[in-house]
Amino acid sequence: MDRTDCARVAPLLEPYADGDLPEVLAAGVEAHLRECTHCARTVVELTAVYSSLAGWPTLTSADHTLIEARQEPLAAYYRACYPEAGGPAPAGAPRAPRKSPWGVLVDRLRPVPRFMLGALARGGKAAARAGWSFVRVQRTRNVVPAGRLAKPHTAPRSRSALPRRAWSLLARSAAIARRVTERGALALG
Amino acid sequence: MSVSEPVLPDRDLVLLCRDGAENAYRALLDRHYVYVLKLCWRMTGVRDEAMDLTQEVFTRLITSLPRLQPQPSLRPWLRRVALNLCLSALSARRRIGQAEVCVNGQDGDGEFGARDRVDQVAQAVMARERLSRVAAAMQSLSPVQRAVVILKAVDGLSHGHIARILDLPQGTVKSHLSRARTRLRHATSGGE
Ligand SMILES: [Zn+2]
Repeated sequence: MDRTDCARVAPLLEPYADGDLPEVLAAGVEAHLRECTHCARTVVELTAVYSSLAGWPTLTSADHTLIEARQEPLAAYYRACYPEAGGPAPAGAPRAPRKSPWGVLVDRLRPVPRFMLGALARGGKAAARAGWSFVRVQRTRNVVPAGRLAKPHTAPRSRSALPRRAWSLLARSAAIARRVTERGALALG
Repeated sequence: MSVSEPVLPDRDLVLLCRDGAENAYRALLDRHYVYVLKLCWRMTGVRDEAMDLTQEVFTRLITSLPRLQPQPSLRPWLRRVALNLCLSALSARRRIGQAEVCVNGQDGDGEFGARDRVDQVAQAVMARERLSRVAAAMQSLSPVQRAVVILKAVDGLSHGHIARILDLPQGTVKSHLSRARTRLRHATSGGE
């Protein structure tokens, strides 16, 4: 084989391996490759570089499991951004989402304080009617659980120390507190 | 689910996504998640980092839906976003001075230090796969060389196309590619 041929062909080997050469040039390179094992091997190696790169990395079944797990939070994020998600759009021109993800987030956060304020306000009114501040009612409920009041034997030890009227007032306020909490829970739920 | 059938082109899936069709989004994940993951993996050489970058790409897909120009294939957009994220992650890695595996690919000297680090990467994976040599050799390339060679080898893009994606002159793409390939060839054929 002719070394000057090798030098002439060398710059063409890479585009040849990629199939980028025009037919005339490719035919010339092929003619040389049939005679020159050195250049032929170079082409094989050049092709091998790309094919082995394309084959790396190989995913294991553990990788696939991880991939599936990783896709769930993405889907959840999608649902958060598109709360109306649930099915394909009706026929017709598709529309852009009404809200940016930030707007959606704000919208999702906003109802929570509103509900809580409502519950607080209702609880406060009921307690105020009974002559208790909301905070006080809540604290009373913690001291004397409403469920226990019907059973004297489970009453706290301090019971005998309380005057009878104070005790019944406590019982009433505890019942109110329970109602208020239930309503609050309903409103929040 | 008719939405997730593979007959719909990406363009339609993107339009459905905008209308709140979760299945369409999941269909896009089915189609492109592994592609993006492998791209990030090849770029960073680290699976877990690639996983995180992939999450970021698909999160950005959701936030970009309103602005996205529906194309027949979503892949060019995903590829561009993923590459940009990888390149900035790699340059951040370099800035912070973490175990840096991609060095001196640009000018080709400093071979010694590079080989040290390549060996570290290689040791971890050598026993497992025949392809580990490619993985290790990839880490001896500069991030841009890596991007160029991936786009050529895996995606089969033309020099002009690669130049546009990476915002480089075509000549630079060609020289990156040639240098990267030589290095990879020597690594994978056991040197010569
Ligand atoms: Zn020859």
